[in-house]
Amino acid sequence: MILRIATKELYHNITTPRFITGFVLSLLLIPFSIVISINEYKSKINVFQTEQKQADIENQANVYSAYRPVIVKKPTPLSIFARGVSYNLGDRVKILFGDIPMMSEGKAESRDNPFLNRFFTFDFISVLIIIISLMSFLFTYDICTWERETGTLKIMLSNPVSRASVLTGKMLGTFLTLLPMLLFSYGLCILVIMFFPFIHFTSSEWVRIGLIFLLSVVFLVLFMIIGLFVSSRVKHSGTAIVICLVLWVTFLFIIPNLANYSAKSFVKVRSVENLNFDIQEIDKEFYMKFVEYNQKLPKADWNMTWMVIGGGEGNRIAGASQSYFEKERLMNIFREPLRIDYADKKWSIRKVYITKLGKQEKTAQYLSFLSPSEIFKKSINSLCATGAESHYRFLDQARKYREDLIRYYKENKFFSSYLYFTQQDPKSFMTADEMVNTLTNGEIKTLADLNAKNDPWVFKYFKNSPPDWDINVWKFMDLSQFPQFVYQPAKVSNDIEDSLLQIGMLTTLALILFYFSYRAFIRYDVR
Amino acid sequence: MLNTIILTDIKQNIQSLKLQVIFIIILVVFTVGSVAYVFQYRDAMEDYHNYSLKMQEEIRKDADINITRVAVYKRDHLLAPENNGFIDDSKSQFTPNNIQYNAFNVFGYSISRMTSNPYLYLSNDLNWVFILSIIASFAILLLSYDTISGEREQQTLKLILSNSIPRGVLLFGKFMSIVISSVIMLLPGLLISLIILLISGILKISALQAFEITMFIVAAILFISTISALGMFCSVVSRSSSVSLLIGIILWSVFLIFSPNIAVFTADQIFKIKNSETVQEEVKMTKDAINKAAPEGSWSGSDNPFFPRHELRAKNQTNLMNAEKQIKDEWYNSQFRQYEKASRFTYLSPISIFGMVNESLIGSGYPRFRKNWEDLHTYQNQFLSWFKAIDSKDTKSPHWYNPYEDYSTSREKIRFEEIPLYTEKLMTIPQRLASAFPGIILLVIYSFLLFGISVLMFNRYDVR
Repeated sequence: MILRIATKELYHNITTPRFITGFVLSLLLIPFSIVISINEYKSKINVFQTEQKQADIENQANVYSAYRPVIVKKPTPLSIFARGVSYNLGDRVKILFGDIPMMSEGKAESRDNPFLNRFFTFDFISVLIIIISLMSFLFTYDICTWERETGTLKIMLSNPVSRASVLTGKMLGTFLTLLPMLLFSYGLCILVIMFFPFIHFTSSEWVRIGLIFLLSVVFLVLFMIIGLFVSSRVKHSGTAIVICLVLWVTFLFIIPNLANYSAKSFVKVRSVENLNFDIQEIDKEFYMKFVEYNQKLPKADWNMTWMVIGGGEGNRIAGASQSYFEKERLMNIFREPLRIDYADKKWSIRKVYITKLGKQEKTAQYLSFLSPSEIFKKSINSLCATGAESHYRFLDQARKYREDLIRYYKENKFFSSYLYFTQQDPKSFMTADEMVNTLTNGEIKTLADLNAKNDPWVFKYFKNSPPDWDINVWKFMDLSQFPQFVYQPAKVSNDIEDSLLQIGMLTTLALILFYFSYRAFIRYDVR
Repeated sequence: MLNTIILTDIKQNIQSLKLQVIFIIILVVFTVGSVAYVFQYRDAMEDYHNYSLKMQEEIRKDADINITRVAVYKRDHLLAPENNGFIDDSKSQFTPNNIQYNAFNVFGYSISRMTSNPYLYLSNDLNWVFILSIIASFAILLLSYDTISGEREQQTLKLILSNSIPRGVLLFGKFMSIVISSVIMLLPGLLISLIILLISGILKISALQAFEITMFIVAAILFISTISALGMFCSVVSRSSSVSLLIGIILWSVFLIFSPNIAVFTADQIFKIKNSETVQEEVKMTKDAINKAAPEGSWSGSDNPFFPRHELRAKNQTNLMNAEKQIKDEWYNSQFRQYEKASRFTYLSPISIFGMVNESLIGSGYPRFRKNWEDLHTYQNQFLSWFKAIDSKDTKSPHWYNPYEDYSTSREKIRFEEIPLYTEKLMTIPQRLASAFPGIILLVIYSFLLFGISVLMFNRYDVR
């Protein structure tokens, strides 16, 4: 009997204009949003490739201090489905000893023209939410009222059929009407993606897509039940549709914006620009400290350096005198641990800042949970690894990696080695006089002689320099023993665990509403 | 007769459930939005104030060292938070708001994050334009979709038309009643918002703010008329009210979703521009070529200002800057053009037009950025002439202008008060009106067109 009612409902639904409406809406809106998302993904990939190429160059090192690896996170193709916050943030982190990474850097905007950010485009999942929730409401708002208004409900219930099976049959029929629409939307999306051969999904990503689809089905059912609930509580279709549509606008368009906007007022965040001013102050303090220490060290016999690359972290020196090198080594023993301490000092300010950001984000999220569609969106974003969590995760790993690397440097006493800043063999270090002698091919014997010339441009006397004074020809070191960064993305099971709460919330809401609608329908006045 | 129709309809609308529910929602959003805005604006202003003090301090420090540092060090001009953000925020957090310049060049622009949070999903601020363009437009459609088809279904349309009243007049009466009901629905919220803003002190009774608010109301009434006409159109296009509603919702969703998407789509597909990586590469190659051609010793320095190689480097640096400027400026202009062309496609949707019109009227968003961009170019020229005038009087300066370094021009101190600083000039009222004009005209055309079509269709409408 349930099946017969379901079939009847299905036939009835298919012949209504709303059925076609659903398909027309999907056809109009989905391809556009997908193509835009694909373009954004494509430019993200381009940025990734450029940055990876750059990182590969930067990650080669000829001395220990030059190894400050850049890590780049590969954008996920699942961002085509749900953009999340991945387009507000860069994907690159440079591991420095003097700074604990706070936020990923790099080009954040996926659009080459920043003015186009004016247009808030809708990604696939937002469009899908709009279509599916609207269609669910349009098919269920009159599920109880319509048959009553036409007078057929009385007739149907005069047959030996329980109200429970009528309700189940009707819901089943509506579900079967809406399922093809959902399938069509996903099919359209996959079809458009197939036109772009550069997009590859791994098997775990396919599993995620499957899960996203399943979640969409749950979402569809939930909105059907909300529609049913409204329908079972009112007498007239006219009232039901108004309530449904007002709910629709509230859930989809008012609550998300309201949540973010009020969260921004509740949790005050300072600007990152002002934060950077404070950071600069600490950097200055650090600079003063090591300059002060530098003055305490015995002076080098000559302050000449043939070639210097870098400065700050990654300082490389060639062609200096032995006492200069020794001074630099002593300096590093003092400066590098100090640098790490100062990184912690800066982190204490930065941490306050990002904790505030996180708190603001969480507040917005919890407020937005007033809307079931936002709960759904949130779990889709975690499945697509484009939500804020996956960025926190990436940065946590980057910070941990930095600590591992520092530990490795400390254990191996790299800070106190000459190889920390020069590849010149300590045995070949010269005194100032020897250097002058070598540089001038023996024409000038001592530094005193050179100074006696009183020439501001001493380089013109230099004829010859040993080959290892050219930093550009230094060989790259073998870094295979160094700790390497491997990004551990969340496992599907973890993500499901994360979104279990949300799925639970959706399902509970659906069950409660269904129970109440059922009770209301049992007592429904069929006249 | 017309008055009777309007009055009865307004009464009916006001008593209807939909208007009452939406009225409450709008009231809540207006109140929450305004209160939230007050807090955010205060925080943002405080933050911006601290920021500008720091920036001034930096200039002061440089001025204490020498005038050349004041001229050559790159400065940021960050656009201040707007005191009319309660009308529209123009998404200015997400678009370029920071321009870099020194006395020799306006280098480029960037997006400064300021107090915005990258971990938040993109969302609209709850300002007046948002309330009008999303909540109110939807409400108006709900009010108007069944004006004709609903009356036909209730069999009352026949009765009305049995009176001696032309169909056009009837339709106009219904149209007016919807416009008036919508205004009634919005007015209390708007007033509450105004009161909150007045009490908080953000709203000061100034001619400019009065203009902004008045023009918002004018634009809002135009927008309400357009959407009401759209509702009438949906209502006469079908004999069944549920079909009218469907058409209304489809059009609304398409206007809302389609228009931003189509702008970005056309920009990506039709009005393509170079991407930043290509431009960077071009700049790098050009710079490398210039450096290669530069005479040897261009990069060596000394503490003596008259060290001859400083002149070589000054020339080289100027060449480098000009070459980069040429490539970059071309690219920036292509971005402006792309944005302008793509945004024209959003004019298909009245919702977008309304946003654009308000952006122009309150002088924010893209028009504001462009004005600052042009003004900064003018300022930069004046700043450079000022610097050169002072430098030319300094006998200890060799006058080799280097756009990045302070070796070979005046090293005298300067008093901070003497430095000409850039201050933003707001868009004037004629400028705002000129920029909003096309949108306003389009809204008028839309209303007339939709209403005209509705009248034509209603004349042939089968009332049975």
